[in-house]
Amino acid sequence: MGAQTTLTSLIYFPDGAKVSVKEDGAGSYTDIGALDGDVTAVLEYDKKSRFETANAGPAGNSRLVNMSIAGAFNLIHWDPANIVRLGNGIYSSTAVAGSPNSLIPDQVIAAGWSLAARHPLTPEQSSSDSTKLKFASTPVLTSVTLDAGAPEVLDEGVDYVVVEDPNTLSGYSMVFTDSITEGSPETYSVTIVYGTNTPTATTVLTVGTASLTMAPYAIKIENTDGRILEIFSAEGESGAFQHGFKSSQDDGVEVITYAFKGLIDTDLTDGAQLFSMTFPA
Amino acid sequence: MFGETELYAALNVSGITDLLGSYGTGSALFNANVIPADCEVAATINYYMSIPWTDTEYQLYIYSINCREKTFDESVIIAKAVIDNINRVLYSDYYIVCSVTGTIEPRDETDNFNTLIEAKIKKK
Repeated sequence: MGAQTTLTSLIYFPDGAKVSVKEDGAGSYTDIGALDGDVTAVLEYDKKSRFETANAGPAGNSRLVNMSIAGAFNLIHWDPANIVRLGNGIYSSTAVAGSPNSLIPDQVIAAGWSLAARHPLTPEQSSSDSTKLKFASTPVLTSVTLDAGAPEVLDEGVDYVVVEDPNTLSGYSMVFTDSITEGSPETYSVTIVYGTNTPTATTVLTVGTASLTMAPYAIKIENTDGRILEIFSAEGESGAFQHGFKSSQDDGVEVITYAFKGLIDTDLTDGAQLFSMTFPA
Repeated sequence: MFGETELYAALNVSGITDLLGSYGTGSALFNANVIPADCEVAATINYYMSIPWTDTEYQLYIYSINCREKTFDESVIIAKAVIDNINRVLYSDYYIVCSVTGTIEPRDETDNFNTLIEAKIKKK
């Protein structure tokens, strides 16, 4: 006997997932970074038994209440900002400024960049130390130059803007505008000369209060094949964050084991109050 | 058949073949357990199905990809190019995931270093 069905076009091959979170008050999702292992999400509910009549057996259909979706993943990208995002207001973050650094080497954005796209600023400690820096505040730039045949010095606020970007390690990106004089400027590289900047030396997260009203977040789990699971309102469960310090005998990397639960959001349309699943056409 | 066509299409890209010697009118890229006797170049890839195939609702073919060169470093460079170009890539109706299993030293002066890659081809 051969295959029992020929319907195979909607088979998906596992390749991990990207998890993004939109914390309370945020306008967009932030990728929380590298994960280890599976990302799970299980639809749960309380099922009410069918009505048992006195003389005619069960009647009617089962009812279900208290829908929720329970998920978990292992986070191996330890960005304190994302831990705060997943914390429902439990974590507070404080940046401890480092020392002023006047030795940040120049950064070159290679030709082929795009107008209106975000190009991460990637400052390093020095020309001999490639430790990546996080800016404590909007970076000071001595100059930004388009490396054309006749180099063009670019003006901030006119030819480019520096924007906060939580998806970059430095915390900032550069966006070029169409005000640059040189024709086809994208065909030239751009050299950024950093001024003296004070990077963030450490980030301290603090936790602990007698009582807290949790601020839910939205969470999205997606694969590049087009499948997207979006949970509209979620909270970490008690024990959600397992901050681990593995022994030297363990395999793999340090991991934060995280569990969450999506709950019904009654502000949304009935029938679409918990999550959505999108499939590619 | 049995994933050979799919794997050849994935491997036959300039990012890989630029590192290989020439054979006939093409590159020294062979779907075979052994290198042809008349192949005189050192930089070659030969691949063959290494795990038995069982028919299921989706196909899983497991291949051994042999990245051969005169020196250890050059053999690894070819293997790295294979990983960079085909590992965790979703093609039209198949997907490839790889693992590097190590480098075997030459058994004699006529042999080359061989960095082995196991490639799983999942096909709808």
